[in-house]
Amino acid sequence: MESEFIVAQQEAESFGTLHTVPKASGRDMFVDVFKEMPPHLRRQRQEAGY
Amino acid sequence: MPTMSMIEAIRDAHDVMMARDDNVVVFGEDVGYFGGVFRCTRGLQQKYGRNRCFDTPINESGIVGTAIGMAAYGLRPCVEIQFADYMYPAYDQLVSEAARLRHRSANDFSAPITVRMPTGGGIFGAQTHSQSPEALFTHVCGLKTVVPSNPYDAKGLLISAIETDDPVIFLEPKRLYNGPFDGHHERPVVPWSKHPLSEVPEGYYTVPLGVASVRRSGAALTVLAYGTMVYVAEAAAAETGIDAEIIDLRTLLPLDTDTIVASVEKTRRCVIVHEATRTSGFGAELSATVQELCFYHLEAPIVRVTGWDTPYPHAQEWAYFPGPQRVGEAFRRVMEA
Repeated sequence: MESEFIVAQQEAESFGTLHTVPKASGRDMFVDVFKEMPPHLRRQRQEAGY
Repeated sequence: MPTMSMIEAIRDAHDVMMARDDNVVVFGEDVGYFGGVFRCTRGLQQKYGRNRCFDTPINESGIVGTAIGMAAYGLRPCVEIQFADYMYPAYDQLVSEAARLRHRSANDFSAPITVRMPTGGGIFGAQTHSQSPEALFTHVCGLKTVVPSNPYDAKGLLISAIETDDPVIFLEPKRLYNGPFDGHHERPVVPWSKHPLSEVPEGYYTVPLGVASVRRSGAALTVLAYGTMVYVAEAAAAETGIDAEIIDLRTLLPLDTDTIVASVEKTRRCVIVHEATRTSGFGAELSATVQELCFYHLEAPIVRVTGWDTPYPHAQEWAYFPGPQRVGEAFRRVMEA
């Protein structure tokens, strides 16, 4: 059971973790909240510097 | 005086009230045998038995609905929703039943329940373990809403909540469970034992609901904050050198407007900080209140620093979290206006 877990974890981590892939941009968090970004969210994204 | 973490203080409040009042019952998911996922009810089942402290199925609506029925018949349930993010199935019970029972029954029945929930982020909990839904409760007439920021207040406020004859939502900032957190996530965790507000008296005492605390006196501007953001505001004041007066609201409803007005009339500037999303967040209510009561004293527009209007992100947690840099920038903006 434990060995299966470790194998599954290693396979999952082979696709990358937060520590191994390029750092995610803060811009991404504003994407896909709506199909089209409403003005207030665009303003917040700009205020956040993205 | 002993020092306690916020977890230990909350557990101690349960213990004090279960010993004082046989009508106090405690239940929720993993609350009994395991003692809660954050250990806030550890040992209570062993001490008071399975009739006073017990586990429930994964059914938040059932937890709150059962508590309302028990309360209507004279018990004092203090229940745990494992994360505030899990509250939504229980929202109908809270809004349609707990909050209105007294009014609907012409005071024949009431629901003196306390509903505890870990709230907020800062622990890489992503969108289903990080939300701050306080405004969903303050918008409901009939609910009181409390957010402690330290062990001393947590114990005293929880005892007050359990003794309150109306339903109380008790939101526990989970990032503060083990120590104060000022938003500098890259620094080592500071334990509560090094903070003066970890000194918690043994036995019974209360911190009254509806009374804010001035955590830092200052003359330049007023900061309205609660929970984790109190420490972020303290860090921002230290790092900018701006003499901010920081008010820890402690109770969002009923709101201590006297303390807010006295401070804003003195400083003439106001910054509001919360971790929840901005639009229709509790900051909007605070901003409206300050505008209504202090408009002729203000020398600058009121500024809000909040989480963005997005689901709480995992990988970008610190881009979302209103840290001391963003709060400090708001301080400067208000001072330059």
